[in-house]
Amino acid sequence: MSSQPILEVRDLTATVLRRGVERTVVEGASFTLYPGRSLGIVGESGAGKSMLIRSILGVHPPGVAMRVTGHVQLDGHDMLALRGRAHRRALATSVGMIHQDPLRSLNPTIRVGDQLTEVLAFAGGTGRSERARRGIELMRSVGFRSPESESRRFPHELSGGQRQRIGIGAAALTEPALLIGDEPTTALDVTVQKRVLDIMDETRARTGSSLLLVTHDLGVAAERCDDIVVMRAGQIVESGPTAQVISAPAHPYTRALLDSIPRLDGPRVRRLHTSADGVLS
Amino acid sequence: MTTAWLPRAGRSLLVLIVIAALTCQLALLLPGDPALILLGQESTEAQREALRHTLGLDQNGLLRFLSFMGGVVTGDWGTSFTSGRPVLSEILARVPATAELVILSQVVALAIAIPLALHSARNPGGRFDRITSTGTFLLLALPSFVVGVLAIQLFAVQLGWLPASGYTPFAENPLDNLSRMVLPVFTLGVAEGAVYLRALRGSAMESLHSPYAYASIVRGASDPQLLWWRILRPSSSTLIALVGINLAVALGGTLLVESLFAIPGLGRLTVGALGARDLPVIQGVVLFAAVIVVVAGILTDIAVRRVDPRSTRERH
Amino acid sequence: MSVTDLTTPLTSPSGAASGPGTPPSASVARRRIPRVGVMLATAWLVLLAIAALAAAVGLTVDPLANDYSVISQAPSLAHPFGTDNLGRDVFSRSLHGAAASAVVALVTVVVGGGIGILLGVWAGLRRGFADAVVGFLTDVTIALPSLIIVATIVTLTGPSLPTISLTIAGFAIPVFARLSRSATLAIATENYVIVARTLGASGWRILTREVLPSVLPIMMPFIMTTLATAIVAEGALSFLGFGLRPPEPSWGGLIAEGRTQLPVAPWVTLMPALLLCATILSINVLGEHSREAKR
Repeated sequence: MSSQPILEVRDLTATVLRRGVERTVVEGASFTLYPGRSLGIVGESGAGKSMLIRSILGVHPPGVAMRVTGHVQLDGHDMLALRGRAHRRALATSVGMIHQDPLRSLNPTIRVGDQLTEVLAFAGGTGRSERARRGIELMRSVGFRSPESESRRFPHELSGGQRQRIGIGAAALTEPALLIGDEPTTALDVTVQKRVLDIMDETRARTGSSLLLVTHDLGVAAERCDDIVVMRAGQIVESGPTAQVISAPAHPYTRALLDSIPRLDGPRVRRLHTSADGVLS
Repeated sequence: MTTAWLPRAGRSLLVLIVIAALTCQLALLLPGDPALILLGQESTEAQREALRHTLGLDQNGLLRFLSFMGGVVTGDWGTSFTSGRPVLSEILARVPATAELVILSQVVALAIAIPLALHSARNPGGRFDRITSTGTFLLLALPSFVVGVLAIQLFAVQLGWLPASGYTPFAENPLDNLSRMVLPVFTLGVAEGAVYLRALRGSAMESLHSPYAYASIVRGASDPQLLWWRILRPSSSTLIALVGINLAVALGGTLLVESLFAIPGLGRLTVGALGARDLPVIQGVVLFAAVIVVVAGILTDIAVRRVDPRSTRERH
Repeated sequence: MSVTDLTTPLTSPSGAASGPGTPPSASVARRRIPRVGVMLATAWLVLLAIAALAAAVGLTVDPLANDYSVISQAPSLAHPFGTDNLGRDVFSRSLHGAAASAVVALVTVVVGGGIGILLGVWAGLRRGFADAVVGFLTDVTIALPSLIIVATIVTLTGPSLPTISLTIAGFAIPVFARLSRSATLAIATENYVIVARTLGASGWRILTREVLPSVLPIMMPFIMTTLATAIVAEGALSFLGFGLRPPEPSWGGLIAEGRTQLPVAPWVTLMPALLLCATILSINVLGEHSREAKR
């Protein structure tokens, strides 16, 4: 906590233009992530979580005009000011991202070993055989038994859990200061979810990365993150240490989210109920 | 991999047999006595009888088909009325010029289409995209014979930059061969390039919207790396299918371009045969074209499977 | 192409829009055909149709009449498109060519499209045997070199407008059949068709009331493409000399005839070429428009 933050977001506002209509997708978001810590960004789909990440990274959806204002300091980079090669370098070295859908976020026509190490190929300066060696090493570290042959496979030839482990490996390859998990377990079976989250934690322990975990599942965030930020309609409605957010939610929306978590120790049937001001209805 | 083709190969063979069966009945299309029409009023009955025998018109349709098929399989595709030479060797002698024309025009079409399509897909609605899209849309409205006529007038007659017509075998004089190929190749290739551009732009835009494109961008891919290393391959199935179709039906396009530019290829052979009602040659060309379509279809399947490993899944 | 409905792309005031190669411009779903283009295309086709009709009923100069006092004359008031080397009026010849093209295009769509769509819908609703027939028919036709076959049939049976139109239409049948078959397959599983079937509607009723009204709009872009293809095919055929016999005017034939006169009287080729290209462009514009309207 004493050192410089890994990620500092200040008054971030993002506007997109679609079919001539301007829409604010992120409004005045501010939060800070310190080295080695983990922050959960929680909210329903459409709350602006993905757009928040895209604004931080400066990667717009294709064909969409987007205006981002505010301040983003990521691992010493002023992200909103970076352009071209410097921007790509910052992304390649400081950020590792684990995507939601492990099948669709892998290129169907490229062998997984090559995709795992593509960050090196894009940056240049690493030979093909060196990349292959790093890829195999990394696959072993995320639990592949025979990475020599498995790295030659195409994504559709792997299981869902295997694909997500490739995703985690690829994100961790450069030991980035910041790992971003964008709904990393949403598309997975419950049994695989826990294993994938464990591998993420192990990887983080090894690389010392901070974690930004985007999820609609407050339970997952509460279990894995030090701090939690709750988003709704593009705005941050609540933030604080996990224990505080869970035990004493200040915003009715957070309470509603909290109540919707199925619990083994709680009553059998618990539904998401609408709070007084009509949130979530 | 081999087994997957078997049903397709059987189907293709059946298609070829049906086409052969239709082809050998072509003479029946002539109104009245084919022999009389082909030989003219001054011919003797003996000459006409001989012709009826050559065309198999003295047999019933089934026998004619069987003897025609026998000839096709053994390499006897009949004899040209006009040149007196075997049809098959007439055809094979014309293949090199046509093959060169077709292959070069495909190369030109792809060389123009791929970079333009990828870069306009990266920034849809941008200035570059608007210019290429408008350009292709206009090009698609220009039939090849119009393009050819205007190209000859402009580049050969007015400016005198390029020869208007003729053909020199590549082995004889490569430079002359290529300079004579420029106009026909572009006449044939430009419109196809426009079709390719539209198709590839569409599928590349789809790929660029995919999570894997996002993943590669976050891993620091530059635009050229993203487009050429990561987007081109998953976007190219439709493009390959189109190239396959164009190769398959290329013979039709060469009819115009070869007669316009006086290239002694299959197209010109066909036009000559049609003008002279040289039935055996027409039959041979139709059959040859059908074989090319079938072969091109199989090659396309192989190429798509090579490029997109997902498509092999259906076989499991 | 001017884009009327595109608002100015956002540019970042603080230079914050960021991103390497991030699209600075508007949405992908932007319409690519501006409204004014659709209006111009429609106007052109209507105008041409009226002019061709006028020519066909004899309201213009005789397209075959030679006037040796006006040989290879440049466009003027008396001869808006000029005259050729035999003193014939290029304007009148071009309009007669337009009439020939229109006949071929319409016959192809009405006959080829009509039979093809019925076959395709039949195959899509019945499956089984009907499917196999249509599938094989398509396979055979696709393996045939269409231009060569059309030229062969037209040459052997004697060139006439009906022969040319019907032969070109014949090649359109299988493609129409295949496309409308897949459109039907998609529709046949929709609820309203199933409901109609459950309510005991007759096959014919389902076909005419439920399926055809849904299939036809889906086929609209392809119908436009076919109009253009048929016109180009007729042009190519006449250009090669296998279409309508020479003095008889047709766009392809006119363009071919004029080639030798290009240095002296370029309008003989250029005017019909211009009409041809403008017509194809207009049809393409409307086709693209119907494709966009579907989304």
